[in-house]
Amino acid sequence: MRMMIPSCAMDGAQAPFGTSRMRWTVQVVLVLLTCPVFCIADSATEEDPWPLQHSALGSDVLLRCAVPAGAAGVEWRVNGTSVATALDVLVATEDGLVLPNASLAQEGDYSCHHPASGEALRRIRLRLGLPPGKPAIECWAISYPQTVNCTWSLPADVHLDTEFIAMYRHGVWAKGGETECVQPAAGASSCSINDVQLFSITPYVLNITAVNPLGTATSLFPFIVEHIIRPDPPEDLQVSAIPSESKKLLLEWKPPGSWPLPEYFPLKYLIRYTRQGTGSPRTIGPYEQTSFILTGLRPGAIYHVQVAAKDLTDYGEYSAWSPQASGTPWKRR
Amino acid sequence: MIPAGGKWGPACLGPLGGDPDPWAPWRGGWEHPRVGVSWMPGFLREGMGAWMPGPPHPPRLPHAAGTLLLCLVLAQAAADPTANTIAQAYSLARLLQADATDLLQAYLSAQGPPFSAPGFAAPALGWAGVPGAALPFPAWRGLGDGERLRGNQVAYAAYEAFLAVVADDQAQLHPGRPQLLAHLARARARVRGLRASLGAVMAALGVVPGTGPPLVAMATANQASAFERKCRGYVVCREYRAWLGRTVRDLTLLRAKYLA
Repeated sequence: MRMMIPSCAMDGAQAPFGTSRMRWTVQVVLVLLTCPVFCIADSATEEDPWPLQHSALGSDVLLRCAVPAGAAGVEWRVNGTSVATALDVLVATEDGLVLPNASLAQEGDYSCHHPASGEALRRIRLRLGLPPGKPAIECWAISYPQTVNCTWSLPADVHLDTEFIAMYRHGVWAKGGETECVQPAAGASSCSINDVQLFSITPYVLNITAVNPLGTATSLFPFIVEHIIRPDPPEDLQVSAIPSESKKLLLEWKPPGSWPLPEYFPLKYLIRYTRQGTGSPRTIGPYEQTSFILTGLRPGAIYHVQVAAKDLTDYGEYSAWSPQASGTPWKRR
Repeated sequence: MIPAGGKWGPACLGPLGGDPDPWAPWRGGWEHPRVGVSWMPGFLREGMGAWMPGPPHPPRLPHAAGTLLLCLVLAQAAADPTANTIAQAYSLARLLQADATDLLQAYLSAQGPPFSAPGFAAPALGWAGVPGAALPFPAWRGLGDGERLRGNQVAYAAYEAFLAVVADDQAQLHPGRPQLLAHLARARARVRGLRASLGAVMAALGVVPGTGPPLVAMATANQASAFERKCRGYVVCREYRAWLGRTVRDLTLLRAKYLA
């Protein structure tokens, strides 16, 4: 059975879910969406003694328990101890127990009992949380052209396990449908696209849907691969004195290990250096080589150096600055 | 400065200048503000999406210095003829790549709305016969030298013809824009230069030139409406720039392969 997540159907594209786990999640989600906020998502089976109820933090939570015939009311217990409703903020009504403006401290195992026999009529494990907000997505081609890596985060803590469905399509109106963006583990906040089209003016569109028992939220992130190229910082920066050269320093570094093909997709580098004690750094470059001789330096002074990398043909952005390395030019003794 | 010996063909073209060549190592450095603005994409809209064209703009040199640099580089590469031809073609492709971004912007500005809207892009728009550059990375990597170069040869033959069509269209649609027409003519001349350069690379590597598919009959080119012609010109300029991106990568690969 195929189901559509409404918020992803921007252009009528289908989002096929092939696994039964995902289908079950969608079914539960659709049931929840049609219920009022304090509705019970009763996923109990006969074997499960404490069926879960997920309700929204800050809402008035209703734990249903019908009063049995002939009884004046029901007795409520939470985590085994009796709930004294007269003293607490909890309100016992005909329908059940109401927790106004529910807070995280009120999570627990609730049970309602026959007042005379003490028999348990209903058990509910209450978990409180929030539906997810729209994820904030970032994608970068750190390892161009092999993969595109995407990460995302939820705007607020929802206190519930949230899964993410990560799919992408190439082209706004792609006929091929959506492909899965591979996550390293279920529930991870990252994924990678391994099938990269080069030289394409057509954007990719990444669709991240956050799903938890209280709701879903979708964000779309369109991008053109060449425009999100950003290598990791260069590695192994070394600053060395040059014998008998009192105003020079030799800098050497390596391209980032995550850049897969530096000989076919060369990088260019910016160098930023500061003399210890002065405030302002000086930035020079870009250069294609992975070494450079700084000149015009003060003998005996300490210099702090950093390097950044960018695709040579100028697509995308510069990397972050590398960790700092320091050195002093050779000084005549 | 004329380098001694060797055959330079179209390489040391005086007026081209402007693009610093990465073959020539920079000595002494120069202050350079951080380059490279990556624009976060705009929100998707129905129909014409608002995308950033994302120009890769290499820093520019004055004309004379650029030409001098080009000649210096070619002098360095004089010893090895294969490396020499690849170096020439690479330099030219880099030059054309920067110029193609300017051409696309100039073209869009001249067409009026909706093309002239800032950030205009219509990636779903195409035109039959205009060669597209896109291909999956493993396919690009696995191309043999022959296939790789013939792909370029066929594409630029088509672009030379299409740029002529676009120039004719623009002469009719916007006769009062001599700068755009000059830009298109310059692009066409440079494509001819690039084709010659690529031909030299093919000869140096012993690659047999292909015949390629027959060009779309240009007779039907005149049956398009004014709006369709503007669309066609946009597709040509956009795909031309994308192809130059591919050619630069192709030549970088060949340079790495044959320079060792």
